[in-house]
Amino acid sequence: MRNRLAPVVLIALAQLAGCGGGSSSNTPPVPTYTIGGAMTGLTGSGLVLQLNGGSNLPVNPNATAFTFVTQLAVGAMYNVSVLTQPTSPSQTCTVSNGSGNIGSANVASISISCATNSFTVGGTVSGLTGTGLVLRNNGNDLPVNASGPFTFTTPILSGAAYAVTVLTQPTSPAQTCSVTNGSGTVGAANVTNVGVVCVGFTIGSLSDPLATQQWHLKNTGQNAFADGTGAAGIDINVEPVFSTFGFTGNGVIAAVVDTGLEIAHEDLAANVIPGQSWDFINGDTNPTNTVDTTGDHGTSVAGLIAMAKNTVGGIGVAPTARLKGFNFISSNQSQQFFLDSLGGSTSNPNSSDVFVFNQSFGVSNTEDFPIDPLEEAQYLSGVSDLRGGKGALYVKAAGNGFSGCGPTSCENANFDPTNTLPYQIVVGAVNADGIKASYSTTGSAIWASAPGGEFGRNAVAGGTPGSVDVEPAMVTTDQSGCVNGYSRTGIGVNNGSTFDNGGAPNTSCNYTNGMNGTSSATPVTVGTIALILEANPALTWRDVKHILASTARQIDAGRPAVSITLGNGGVYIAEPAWTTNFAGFKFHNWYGFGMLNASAAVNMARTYALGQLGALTNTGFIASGALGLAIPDNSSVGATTTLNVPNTPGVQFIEAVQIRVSATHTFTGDLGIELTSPKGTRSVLKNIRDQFGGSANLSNMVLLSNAFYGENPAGTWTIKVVDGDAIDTGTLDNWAIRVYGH
Amino acid sequence: MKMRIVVLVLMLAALPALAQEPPKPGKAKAAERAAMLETLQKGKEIQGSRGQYRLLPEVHAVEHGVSAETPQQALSRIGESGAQVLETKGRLVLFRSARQKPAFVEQVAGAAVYPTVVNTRTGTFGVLTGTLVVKPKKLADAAAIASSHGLEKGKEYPHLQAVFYRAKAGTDIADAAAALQADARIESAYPEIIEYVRVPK
Repeated sequence: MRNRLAPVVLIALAQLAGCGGGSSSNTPPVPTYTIGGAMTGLTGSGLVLQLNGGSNLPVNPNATAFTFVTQLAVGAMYNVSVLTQPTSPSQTCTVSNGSGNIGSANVASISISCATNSFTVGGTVSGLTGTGLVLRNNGNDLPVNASGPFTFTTPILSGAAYAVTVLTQPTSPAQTCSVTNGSGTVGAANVTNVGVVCVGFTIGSLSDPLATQQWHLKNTGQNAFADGTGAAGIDINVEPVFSTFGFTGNGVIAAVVDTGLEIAHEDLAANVIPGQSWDFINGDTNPTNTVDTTGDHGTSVAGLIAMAKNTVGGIGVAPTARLKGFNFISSNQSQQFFLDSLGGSTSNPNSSDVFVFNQSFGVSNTEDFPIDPLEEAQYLSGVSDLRGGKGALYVKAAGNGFSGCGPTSCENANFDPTNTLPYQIVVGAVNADGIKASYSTTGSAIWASAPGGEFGRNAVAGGTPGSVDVEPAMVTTDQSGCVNGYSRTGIGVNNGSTFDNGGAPNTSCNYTNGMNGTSSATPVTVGTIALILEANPALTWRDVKHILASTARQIDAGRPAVSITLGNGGVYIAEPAWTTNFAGFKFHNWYGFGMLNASAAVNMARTYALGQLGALTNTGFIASGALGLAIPDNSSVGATTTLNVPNTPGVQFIEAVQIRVSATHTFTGDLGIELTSPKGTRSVLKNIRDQFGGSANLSNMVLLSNAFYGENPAGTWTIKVVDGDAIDTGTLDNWAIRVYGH
Repeated sequence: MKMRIVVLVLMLAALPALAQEPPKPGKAKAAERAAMLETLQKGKEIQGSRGQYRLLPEVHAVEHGVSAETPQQALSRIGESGAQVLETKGRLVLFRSARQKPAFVEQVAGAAVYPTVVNTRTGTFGVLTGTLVVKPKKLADAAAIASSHGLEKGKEYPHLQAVFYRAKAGTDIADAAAALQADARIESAYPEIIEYVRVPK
């Protein structure tokens, strides 16, 4: 019974309270009113409104209205504010008409508008050295020029997805950029953690199946399909150029002036400039060699420069350099074709836009002869006018004529008159063990040396075991197919190596492992120069020479001088050991300033101070007049005389020294010619007992030495002419000296 | 007995000389070549860009077509199968013919047969291509010069101030070169001579 009475009492009490008055005063109750309004745009969660700093009202997503629980009496102040903004997505809600005094009705005029926030997307690019990188995020493209922070220009709404990708990979140098933390949903803050890392490539990562056998790029001691192996580390140190900088020769045009160029070769076609090569035999733009069936020298040279980075063959030193082929060697070699091939022609063919000329050729002479003045003029024009006045680079093979004359070279790099121009970069060849290749012509005209390899054979295919025959040669492109080329198959054909006999992995016969010679060292140098010019296109031809000389690596450092005891007296140092000249440059007639170091050269190129070499000038020939000095026969004493080079303001730093020598002698092969600078540096410009012969004398023979590079030429220069063999005798008739420098 | 002594003395005398004179590469070859050159008839003198030359009326040159073609096969093509091959310069086969020829380029059986010269200092052979390399004092005169000498004007190289001319069939190259060299409008002129061919190195 007690339980049934209790609710009745409670209801009565409540009704009394609702009338607003106490039973004691009888005052009518003060009416109270609700506070609320409209809500628009709310999609996020967590919105909390607040009334007068106290009453909190959570509002659910998608709500369109709100009303506080708390009611206020007439006249009371109300103030509605946002205590907590919504998230997921992040929104900002703003209150309109949010404050006032309570009137005689509920307040419903407050409006709250919520808008979703936008945030930027960005992050950091690292390792970028190329140009042209474009990132994309939801259609918003952002070119990026340098490593560092980046931010897309278009903000993204909170809650929306972002997806950063690489739209365009950088070139010059070619790099591959990859994105980390590139996608997600924008929250309540700017996205700043997208990572873009740009890198080049390593030799080992390539899809080119023969690349790991190209010891000149990265010597791991591989055999390059020969029986013998090389020494790890004996290479041009190019991998860091690829992996760190990604330089690949982009934008550089190299001309292969040679026997031909198979423009459709599977590993060259991508880099051959369409319609820009020239066939001098038929007067068209296709110099593919259809004459030589046992190998096209030019096609193999081209591969060492710019075999493409793809899934076949190997790669060139500059795998994106562009190629032109001029088959001058296969032509009748007229002077017109010479000029046309080496930069003197703007149409049919256009050789005037070439950056680097590959000249894997030379003459085989047994007597001196002067350079043709038109040819010299073309070289001068090329270094003066081409590449917008910065000068084209002319890279020239020293020759393959070492063997047959004993411990010194039969042929001398100075025998080819075009090698005695300071406009050339004359290159000697090194084998995979880091020693001068067995055949490589030596001489003071050599600037640098580069891998050229030996013969790459296998004993099972006819190579001679234990000899240079089976030491690694160069792996490069060959005439396509197994009918023609250095590598080919057929009854009775044995090309010395399994690889060149169509053996795996060369069943296509599109490649050879038997290319060698300074013919190979030359394109390796051309490729290296392409990398240098990509790194710094503003370099002049002399800057490039300077960089090569400054960064070349001394190899075979312990090589002793070649001394020969002469019959009538004395031990003659016929070939000096490595010599450090007064300017600190190391030089050797076998190696020039040393073997190319592509990485060091590119590094130097990137930060090279332009203009540091000043203008090239020369002293003119300073001549002796008639001498008639007897040259003691078969004696180290020699005929010695001097010339003074006056202090010349424009020539304080030697870039090259030429001498011009006339001698009467019944067998010029006996004669050795050496020159000693005022600073005491000795250079042998012609060896005794070389392949010169006959009784033609030396008639104003011009010889060049790079051994004095960097010295000041002012002072007394001493020439010494030695007769290094018996019977034949003669005189030094006159000589002259000309110094090029700045 | 006396004879034996003489022989012994001669042998002993020869020993030091033999010891002091190891064979010199190329010396015998040079002597052999010098002797061969002596047997060749010499024609007109020609001033070339590299020195002085003499025409060799009985020595000619022809290009061989493909690498598989031997020099003798190239000669057979032009009806010179009995000729002596003297040397090759790249694709040019130099041969000694039984008949003398004038100093112009002949077309024989579709092939060009070139006259040759010898360098009077070095004894090297050169091939006259029928082209003349001219540096006129004014390039603008190039066409007029060609016309007045009965030559065909070829390609110009303005950066070298040089023009190539072609001797017409029957034009004696030596005479044409001499006439150009005497022309006051010309700074220098010489016949193109292929003397040293470039080979892969």
